[in-house]
Amino acid sequence: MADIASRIEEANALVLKRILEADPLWVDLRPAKEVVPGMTENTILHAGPPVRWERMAGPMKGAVAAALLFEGRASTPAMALEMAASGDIRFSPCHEHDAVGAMAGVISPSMPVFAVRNRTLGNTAFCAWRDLGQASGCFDEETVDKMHWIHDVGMPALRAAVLERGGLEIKPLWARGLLMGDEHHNRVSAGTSIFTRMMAPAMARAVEDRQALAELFDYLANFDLAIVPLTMAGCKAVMNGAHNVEASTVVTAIARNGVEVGIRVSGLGDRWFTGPAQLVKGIYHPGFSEADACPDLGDSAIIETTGFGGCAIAAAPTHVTVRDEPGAALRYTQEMYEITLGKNPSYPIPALGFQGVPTAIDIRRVVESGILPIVDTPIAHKEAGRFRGVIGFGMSRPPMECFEGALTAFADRYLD
Amino acid sequence: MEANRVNNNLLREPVKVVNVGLELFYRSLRDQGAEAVQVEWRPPAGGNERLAGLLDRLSGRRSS
Repeated sequence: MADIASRIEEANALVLKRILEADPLWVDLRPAKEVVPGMTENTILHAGPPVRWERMAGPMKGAVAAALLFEGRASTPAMALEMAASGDIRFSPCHEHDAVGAMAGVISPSMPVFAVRNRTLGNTAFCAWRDLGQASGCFDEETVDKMHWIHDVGMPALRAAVLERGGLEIKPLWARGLLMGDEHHNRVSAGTSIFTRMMAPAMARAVEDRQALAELFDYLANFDLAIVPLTMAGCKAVMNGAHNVEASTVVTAIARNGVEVGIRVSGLGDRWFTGPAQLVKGIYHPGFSEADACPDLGDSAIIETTGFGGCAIAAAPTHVTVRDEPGAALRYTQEMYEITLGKNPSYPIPALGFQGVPTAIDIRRVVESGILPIVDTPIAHKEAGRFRGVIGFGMSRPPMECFEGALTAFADRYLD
Repeated sequence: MEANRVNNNLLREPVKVVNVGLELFYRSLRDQGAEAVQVEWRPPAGGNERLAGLLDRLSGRRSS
């Protein structure tokens, strides 16, 4: 048998190739229970590594309550919270169901999910079309009404359009967005605009209900972050294709539940390696500060795991988290080249001489260098229902414990 | 011997420093008007010998 260093090199080359050659295609938009593996009527998925109800962060508990109200399982918030605590609901991480969810990441059976197929390998991944209020822990009437609009009006209309179009290729959309100043996590103005342009003809052809069509365009026109769940599903489809390669040290998921941050590594199967979630240093909206913040939250760091977001922040120097610190955006991305195995030529960054985004985070490089991946992240209020949406944006890093734990487990498994 | 000769001119000229590691020394020099550059360096694995040993073995730099 080849020595371990050669095995790792070979495995990582295969993983890098799979990421670079991945070809995500948005194919469908359906209720989670119809497509997400392992989803049942009593299952609720959540962001990050596993967490019990009692330990869940405030916004995650609020998002669960909203989901149970939306599903008609409870008629009051108090009843929803009681049901969630009863033990009748099975909570499970999105990542363990080929899925991801933004912020609280709560997905209930009837919530629509974007389905993205990686055409290179044939695997499919999912991300909920979330209401931002629910994702940030709100469960009031306005939030539940918006969840119903997404299900009753948004889903059938947008689904008809994507089927009419025969799917939407995501790779060119990501490439164009980067050239227009997006990093694809929180600076997504270009991506949402391109998405709307690319889908508009099919929407006009496929949606007969003029009122529904107008409301869908209103939604896309007024919600800058509309494209994020589609990007997340695409990134999950790419990284699932790179997962479970024996002897690979590449990180295939970074996920936060507001209590812990967890990572998964290609050559270590479905184990989580966790550490405590940190408060996010960031730019807060007026009236809010770090004292109001929920620690690091959401599966959206799958975007960084794929090479975008904080890793590609050099493409988005106008983004709120870096614009007040000249040169910071460039420095962050250049730092990420130190811990990644390659650059993705499909996604060039103009400000860095059109080098590709840093791709394939290697746990060995993280531990050796002490450089942690950087995540460009939204920040939720720590109390359920206190604020609809994000209270700020910041740059966070997963704790080193995740990578040290993964390296130790890797050595236990692969060294004689 | 040639190798033991001390360069007596070293501190007679303006000092130019390449500082490796702790940034405090770099900032102190700059505050005193010295020309200095900072090299970001940290010991592998933050100085954790167990992890550094595992990294050596996983990278083929040491066999056991």
